[in-house]
Parts: sequence; C-alpha cells; structure tokens
Amino acid sequence: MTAFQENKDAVKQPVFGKEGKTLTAGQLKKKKAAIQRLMRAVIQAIFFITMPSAFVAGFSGVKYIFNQIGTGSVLEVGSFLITLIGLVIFTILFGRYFCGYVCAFGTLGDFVFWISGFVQAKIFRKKKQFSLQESCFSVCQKIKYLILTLIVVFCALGIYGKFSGTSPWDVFSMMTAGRFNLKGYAVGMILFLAILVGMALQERFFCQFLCPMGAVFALLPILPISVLKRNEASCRKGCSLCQKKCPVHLKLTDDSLLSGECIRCGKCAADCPGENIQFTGRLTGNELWLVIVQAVIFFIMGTLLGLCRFI
Amino acid sequence: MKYKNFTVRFLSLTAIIVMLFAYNSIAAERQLMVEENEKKIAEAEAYNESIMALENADGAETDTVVYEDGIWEGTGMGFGGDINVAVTVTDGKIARVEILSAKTEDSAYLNMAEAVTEDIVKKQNTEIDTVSGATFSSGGILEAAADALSKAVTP
Repeated sequence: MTAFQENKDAVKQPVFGKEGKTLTAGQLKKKKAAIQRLMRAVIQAIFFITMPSAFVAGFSGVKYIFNQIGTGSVLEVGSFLITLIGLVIFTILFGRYFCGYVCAFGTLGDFVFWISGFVQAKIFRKKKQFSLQESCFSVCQKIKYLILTLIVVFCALGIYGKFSGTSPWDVFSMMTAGRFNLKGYAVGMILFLAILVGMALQERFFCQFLCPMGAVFALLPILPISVLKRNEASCRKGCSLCQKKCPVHLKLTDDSLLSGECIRCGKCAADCPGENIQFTGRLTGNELWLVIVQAVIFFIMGTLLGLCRFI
Repeated sequence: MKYKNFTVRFLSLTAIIVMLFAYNSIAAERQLMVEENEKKIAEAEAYNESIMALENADGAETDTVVYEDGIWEGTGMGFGGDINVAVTVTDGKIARVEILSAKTEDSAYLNMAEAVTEDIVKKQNTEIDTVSGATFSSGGILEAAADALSKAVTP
C-alpha cells in the first residue's frame, strides 16, 4: 500500500479546516465534540421553549397514584398518569435521556452553571470552577430518594395539600408560563432561589441531589442496550477525563453506570480521546444521529401527551 | 448472572404494576358499592322532599337557588390566562358545563381539570375542590362557571 492509501484509511472522511488543510485526528475529535455540545444545547433549548412543564406533569402522575391510594379511590387513566407512563417507558428504552436533554429544570441548571463558570473565569479570574467535596457525592445523591419517599407518603396520608406553595418546581413552572403573580408561594420562591445558588456552584445540583422525578427514573430497569459502558482495556493510563467531565460524578465503572445516576448528557463520550464510551453494538455513547432520533421520538410523544405549549 | 441489575429492577417494577392493578380492581368494586349506596340515599331524600313539597303546598321559599333556563357564559382566570365556559341550565337546574376556550392552559393539565365540570352538574353548585396538580386550571373553570351562573340567578 502506498503512503497515500494508508493515510486515506486512517481518516474516515477527509475534513478540511481553514485554508483547505486537512485536520488532524485530534482536531477532528475536538470539532466533533463541539458539534455534539452545540446540538445538545439546541435540543435543550427547543424542549425548554416547547415543553417546559413536562417534568411537573410526569411527577404529578406519581403524586396522583399515591393520593388515590390514600383515599382508596380508583386510579383513572387521566393525562398525568399517561404522561408518567410515557416518561417511564421512554426512560426504560433509552435511559435518562429526558434528564439530559428534555427536562427544563435540568436545562436551567446547565445554563446557570455555565453562566456561573463564565463569571468565575472572566470576572473573578478563577482557574477552576468551584465544586463540592469528593466525599459528599455518594451520600448527597441519596437525598433525592428521601425526598421522593416523603412526598409520596404525604400524598398517601392526604396531607400533601398542606404544603401547597412550597414547591420550587411549581414556582419555576409558573414563571415559564408567564405567570409572575406568585402570591402564597413565598416558601417556594425562597427554595427556588436557594436551588439556583446550588446550581451555580455545582453542576446538575438539583438533578443529582434533590429531584424526586430523577429518583423515580434512577430506580427503573433501563434496557442493557441503552446503558453506557466504558471499554477500560483501551483507556490510556492515568486518563480520567470522563470522570472529570461527568456532571453526576460517576466513576464510569460498570457498577456506577448501572446505578441509575447517569443522565445521558454524553459529555464522557464527547471528550474521550479513545472513543471508549459506548453502548452495546459499538455505537459511541454520543452518536449525533441517535441523539437527534431520540429527540424527535420524545417530541412526538410529548405532543401526543399534550405537553407541547404550541401544538 | 449477566443482567442481574436489570432483572432485579424489572421484576420489582412488574410486581409493583401487578399490585397496582390488583388495588385498582378492589377500589373499583368499592366505588360501585359506594355509588349504589349514594343512589339509595338520594332516592330516600327525593321521597322526603316530595312529601315536604306536598305539606308546603302554599309555595313557601326553599333554600336552593333557582337558575333561569338558557346557556350562560362566564370567564375565569386559569394558569396562564382566561378560561371561558358555557353553563346550560334546563328546568332551573345546571344541566351541562362546557369549556369554550382555554388557550393558555397546557392540554395535559386541562384534561385533568375538566373533571370539575361533571362535579358541578352533580353538586349543582361551584363549591367544588380543585383538582390536585391542576389547581389553577380547575380553579379557573370553577371561577368561570360561577361567573356564568351569577348571570343566571333569578333576581
């Protein structure tokens, strides 16, 4: 084989940068990662504008079930319950893509954290963004299960209504609907502001520590083909880039990837220098077409469920 | 076992779903019995009222509000904006509550809130609890219905 043919095989498609020069594999990788980040931001923005109350509707289904059981009433298949079933099926099939790409609250958290990083770097000239202590994470990530338990128990006991006005979710939901008359929601407002502070200090603060809907998703039986795997044998020695990038602090071992914490943001796969993060079947963990297909599927499902604000 | 994690979770979820179905069939039976009981109570009360009506043949005033027949429209404040309803009154009683427009409500929430329209007909007034999780949408429907009925009251 001539040198020309060998080179051609090394790069799948010739990509030209500025001035017609071909890009190196490293530059190609960076470009691809940038495109993936941009695509994620675009999808998050689209869902933020069209379906901001999807997470609330889904969790209302959970609360509805326990409210009905508490009063011994029949579970009727209304829109909250159907939305919950839709979200559960989608998550079982695709993993917590909802968390990583659709949930407006998650998107808000990502945006706040990004702004905070920008401010810390440019205005305070900090080299590294502030982040919580290492030891905190595994304990704090269990808190959301406690919150879920408290909420469903209160629903079953029929006393959840007494906490009306305290939900920061409701406050956010109202604001996205253009409703700023938040009388009676003082506690909710305060909690919402506290959560915003948390979001600025720690990536996906609410999602990994406090979200009861996330707790539900984390307990689901996600199909093994949709669980990410790291090909540890191919990892470069001393590289821990995926762990550093992971917003929910996964070690990306087989166990941690089965814990239910992975929110499928794809940052690990985007930046891995060896393309080691994959699904079964050698799809890389952040295939662009797969990301778009899942977005389309969710958009159709969400519209059928009545979650889309404009259709 | 290769897929132990998945299997454990899958079996747990299946067990939960089976239990919910079992619960639901028991709850449905119970609801049937409650409704039959309520029917019997309603029949007894209707019988009592007819006896009382005979005794009060001189046309003394009753407590219940009398509505004028017709279709009355009203407006209330929902989650994102106005909700318009039309209340149909037949023979002095509320026969039907229909939502004319609720453009500002997300349809998932409106679907849950619509349950109050049947409650209004059943209870013959708008003193109904809002639907948990769809408080503003259902409250808006109730407000709109009350607004409509305020126009239907015989002065």
